[in-house]
Amino acid sequence: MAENKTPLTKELTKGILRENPTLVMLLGMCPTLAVTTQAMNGIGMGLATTFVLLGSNIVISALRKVIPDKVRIPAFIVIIASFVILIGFLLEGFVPSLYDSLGIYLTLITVNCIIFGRAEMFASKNGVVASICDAIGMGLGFTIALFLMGSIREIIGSGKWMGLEIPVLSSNPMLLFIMPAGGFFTLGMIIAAVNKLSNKKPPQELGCKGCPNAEACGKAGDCQ
Amino acid sequence: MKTMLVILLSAMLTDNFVLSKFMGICPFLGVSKKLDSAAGMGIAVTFVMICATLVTYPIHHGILVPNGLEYFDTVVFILVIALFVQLVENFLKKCVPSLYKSLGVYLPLITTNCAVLGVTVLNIDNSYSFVQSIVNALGAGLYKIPKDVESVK
Repeated sequence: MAENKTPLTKELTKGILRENPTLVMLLGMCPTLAVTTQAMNGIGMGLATTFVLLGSNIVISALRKVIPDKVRIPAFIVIIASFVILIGFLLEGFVPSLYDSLGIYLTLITVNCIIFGRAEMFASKNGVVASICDAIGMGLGFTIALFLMGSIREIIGSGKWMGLEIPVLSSNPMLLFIMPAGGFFTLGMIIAAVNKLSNKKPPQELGCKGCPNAEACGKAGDCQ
Repeated sequence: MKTMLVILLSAMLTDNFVLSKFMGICPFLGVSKKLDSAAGMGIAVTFVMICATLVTYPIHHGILVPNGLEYFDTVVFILVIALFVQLVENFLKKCVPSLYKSLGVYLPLITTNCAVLGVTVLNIDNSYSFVQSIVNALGAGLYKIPKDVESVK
């Protein structure tokens, strides 16, 4: 299938920045905030999720004509959960330290919206090869986002990076960045930077016309 | 009794599921625009959490452990949760249609709300007893109502 060549590379690269699952589509927030106190955990979580995403995308796209439409959601969830059990065993056996630090969030990959979202939006409508590219792209995008979050929080919050001490920061770490509040703050800053980079401009028109909350507010806000 | 109180309070305050464990962020950001839909969502999630705990705990200890199938937890739990979400959805659709409308897509998404799966798995991981598990589920759910309401103000 020669005509599929251009789209395939597109499927691969779209997840990294343009449709980044975490930073642009805001899916899978709970592992993003919870495990990113260290850069290493971010990578581990990202790769584990990529593995599950890859497995579930392959199986779901291969079975997309077999699974009846009405029971697709339970079917998808069972497929995803099986891969989560698999990665749980693999990590417990080979990288027990990572298994311990991810803890319950490893089980919770099952309910990560990114995986379910890709199954519903992409794998159930496209072929196996395209779904593999999509899964790798989305997984990498997620891993990069988690690594970025983890790096920022680890460097500022504990003065270390991947186990290396950083001269000035390690003597005055800002503990806030390791704590939950710092997670929300870092995420907000990164999303703001990504929006700036991808030239998403806020609406230019002032007043109710350009206001995203116009419907909810109903002109109660007294703005022009 | 004292342990119960400790579990309840820590699930509600210090180990708050949304604010310190980051579970269930999507509906937290999505439906907390209006007071009644926020409270409705909180109550719906609490109900699903308690029902899911009531069913998953006996399944884990009565069926899975004796047969050495503990690793099937995730699959079984998520199916039980999906079942109860369907139940709540049908109930709200018939009895409180206005709330059903304002919750929109976030209602079926309770299935993939990590707080619900999280609470059932944590109950097993922390080896709580049956009653302790239910108290934990209640506390974890109760966090949500005041927090959602607060973010509206």
